Amino acid sequence: MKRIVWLAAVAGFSMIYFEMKGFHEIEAGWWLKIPGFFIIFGFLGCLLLLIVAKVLGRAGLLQDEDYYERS
Amino acid sequence: MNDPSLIIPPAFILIGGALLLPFLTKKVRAWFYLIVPLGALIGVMVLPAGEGSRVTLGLFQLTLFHKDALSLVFGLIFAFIALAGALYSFHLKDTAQQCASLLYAAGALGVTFAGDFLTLFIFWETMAFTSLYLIWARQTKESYAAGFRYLIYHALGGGIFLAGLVLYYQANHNLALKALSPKDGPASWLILLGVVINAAVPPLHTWLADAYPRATVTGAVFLSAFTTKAAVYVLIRVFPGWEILLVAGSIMTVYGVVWAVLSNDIRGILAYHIISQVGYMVAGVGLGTAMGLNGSAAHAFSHILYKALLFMGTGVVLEATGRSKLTELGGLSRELKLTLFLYMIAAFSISGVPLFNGFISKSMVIAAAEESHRTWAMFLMLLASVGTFLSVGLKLPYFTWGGKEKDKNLKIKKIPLNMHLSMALVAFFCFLYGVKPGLLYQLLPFPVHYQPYSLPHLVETIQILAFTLLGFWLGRKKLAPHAQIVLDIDWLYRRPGKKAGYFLLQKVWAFFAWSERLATQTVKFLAAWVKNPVRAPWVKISPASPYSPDRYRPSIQAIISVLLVVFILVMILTLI
Repeated sequence: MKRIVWLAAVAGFSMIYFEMKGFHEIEAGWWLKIPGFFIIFGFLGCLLLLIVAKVLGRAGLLQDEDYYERS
Repeated sequence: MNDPSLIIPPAFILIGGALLLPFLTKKVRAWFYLIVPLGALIGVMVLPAGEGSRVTLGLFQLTLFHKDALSLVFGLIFAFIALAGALYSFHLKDTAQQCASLLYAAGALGVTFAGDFLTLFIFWETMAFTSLYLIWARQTKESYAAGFRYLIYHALGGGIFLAGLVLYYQANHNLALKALSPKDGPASWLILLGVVINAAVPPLHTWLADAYPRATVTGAVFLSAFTTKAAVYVLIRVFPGWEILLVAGSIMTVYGVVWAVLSNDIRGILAYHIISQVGYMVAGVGLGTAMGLNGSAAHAFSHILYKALLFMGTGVVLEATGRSKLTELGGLSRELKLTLFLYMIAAFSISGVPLFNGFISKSMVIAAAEESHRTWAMFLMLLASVGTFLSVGLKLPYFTWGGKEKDKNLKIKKIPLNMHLSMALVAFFCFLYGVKPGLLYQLLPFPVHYQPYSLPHLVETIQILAFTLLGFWLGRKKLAPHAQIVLDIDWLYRRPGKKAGYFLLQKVWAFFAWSERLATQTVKFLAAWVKNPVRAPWVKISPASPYSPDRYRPSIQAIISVLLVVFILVMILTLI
């Protein structure tokens, strides 16, 4: 699994090569002008979701399995 | 076949099959259960486009069959998944569940081919009640309770829908199925509210996350396919371009993934991801452009395939181990290797991995948002893609099949061959549509000018997926499941609501009891006083019997039953 993770990361990075070749010039969005934008987006998005879920869980969303039975 | 009056709508093939099924012998029943949805699928394919099968119901002219490009794409996938679901549950001995599944599929097909609002509503309600049985058939305390909550939600949704229809009829004097606008007044808003309950749009979504994980193994496959997607069909048909749907859909894509990260139940994770995935479809409808509506229809088509396959995979885990919580699972990769392989095809599909069907449909909605300059919606949907891969593509399989067994005494039951066959059939189509997107695009209601396999799109997807994988790997310990439940908006009616119910029912009953006692004692005293005012103060008054809310129920039940029978007879006589 570890090897797959690092191979995927290398594959993701290597995609910057295609971005540098300028195919995004025809596109409109500002985000496409930042090389590796979706690398950052994927990684930070993953961390953001994880943090938000954890915070919500600690804030009281996670409860014992018999929560609704013992009222 | 070309005579419209001779058309038998596909829903009626399923209804006929369901009515006949209980009278067949056990051996024949299983095969018949498979043949009936096949007949419906053939019906969907061969019946000509246009309107047919008109009947009169009282004042109303019902059009039971209306086929166009939109109804065809939904009809095809509904009929196909009914067939795949029947194959998955081929080993099932529960006739009632088989009948409920067929009638549920009939409801979905009936909605899809309905030519007017009343026909649509009748099949809409058919779906609600038949699907309920697939939850109750699990026969656990939790499934009964969740089923009741499901019933209340859908009865409420149906009532709101009907109220909207009444207002619509008052204003228009017809029930023709047509696109509505926000300017059409309260009727259109009430109908929308009834539909979005079935589409599980937050905050009206809790019935789904509550009930689907508690349904039977086979029932969950049908549930994952019909109710929400039939609602998406109605949204595309009746509410295209409603801005509010773009906002609601975009938010629900992320809402579902956040709650899924917290869930411990494997089918609970998938249930939250239905909400998230339906969000893309709802957002596509809200965009209202040809690309957006095509994207919604295409994504509903893809979603039905891969979501059914995901529920099939987790259903196999539940069937084999009797467990569905991540905290109790793990290390199943040796025993359930084939299941893992087929599950991963669905997981790649839902995550939008190139070569699988989610890639060619989800990206259509995202591209439609970009094309309409709704950048915020596009980013929310992309964020939801990250969360989908994180939960369904990585967390769920990692903690179910990966790692070590958590229970050394766990016995793995043998899985019937038909379950894996059905999974393989659906997996084949997930892959086929992924590599041949044209097969799906040609079915869509508007001409498609979209190329999913463009270099920018491939680069973007590979980068997002690769770095979500890296994020998961680095944070996998934080993602470790906990033996806990995740609260949702249903907390409002399950905790404070329960207490409110105590005061509103029990306290009110106690007040009634006190009032009745007071009234009876007063009357008795007055009677004694009138008889002899001098002796009245010394007359012993017998205590009143305590108040019982059940006292008048049997007689009211009898009256309601008689009225119901009369109503049904009037309906039958009107139809004849």
